[in-house]
Amino acid sequence: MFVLSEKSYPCLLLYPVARLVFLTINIFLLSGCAIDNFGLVKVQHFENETVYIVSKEAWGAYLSSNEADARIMFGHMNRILLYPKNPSSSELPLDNLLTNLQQDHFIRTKNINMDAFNTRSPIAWITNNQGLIFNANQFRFGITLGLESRDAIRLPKDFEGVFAFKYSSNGKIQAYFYQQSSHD
Amino acid sequence: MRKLLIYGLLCSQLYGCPAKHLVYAHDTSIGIDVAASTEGTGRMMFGYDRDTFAIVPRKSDGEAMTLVSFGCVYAKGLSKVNFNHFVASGKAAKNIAQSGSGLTAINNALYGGKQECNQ
Repeated sequence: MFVLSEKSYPCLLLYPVARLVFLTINIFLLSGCAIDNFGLVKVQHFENETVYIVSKEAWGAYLSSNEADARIMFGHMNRILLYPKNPSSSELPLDNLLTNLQQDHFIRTKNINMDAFNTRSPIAWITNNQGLIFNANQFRFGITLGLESRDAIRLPKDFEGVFAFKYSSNGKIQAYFYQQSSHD
Repeated sequence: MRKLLIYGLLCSQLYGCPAKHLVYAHDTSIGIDVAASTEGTGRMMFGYDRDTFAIVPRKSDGEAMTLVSFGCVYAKGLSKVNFNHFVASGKAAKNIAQSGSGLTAINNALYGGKQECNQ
């Protein structure tokens, strides 16, 4: 039970915005909290021939310590991250690119070491957040109150190869990644 | 974290930093958004904002990237978004650029002549 009194929180009573933020944080803290992959967070893992997908959905307070995703948020978060596999180029002829892309071959996998993804940067991601978000990651530093949505592809500037990505907000994802080796 | 903070603040002041990544992005924000960004630009926003942009960096050796890129982004309201992209660079880009039928096939796979992009 949270009771605001002039004696204990004089500044909150003076500043309506501060009071609103304080109440929002407390409401979401009561609804649940999570840190990375632990707590009230739903984590799923999918993969196809060339790409891993990590999907996270969290409610309440959520703290992410991943360098690419460091943030504290209070509200609802839905995040889909794509990581490349490293198959040898001989297994992935470019001729099959469009065929592979058009076929949905993502399968759900379990018993994956999720910690391995914490040190890697995703090559694409889709985020939908609602609430109060404090971003402190390598892409963004700041604060958002409300709704934020971002769909992004991010490849190294020395990347040589092919990345094809199709995403629809109805949940359909198709992706294909091919990295050219230096011997090709 | 301190370096990140200083870098972020510097970036917001300088209105953009040298790009280190090839980026294609589509952003939507509603509410209050105050952010510095190492990719794209910093912003202070109140209300509604939608951005679609690409950043093409120079390679480490200072040369421009060899790039073939197709993009189709469709957004309607807040809930409907289609985000299709194809990116090829280096030798793969050269090979694809020389194939007329390949370029047509990629265009059809991503765009397909549909306003809502081919899904």
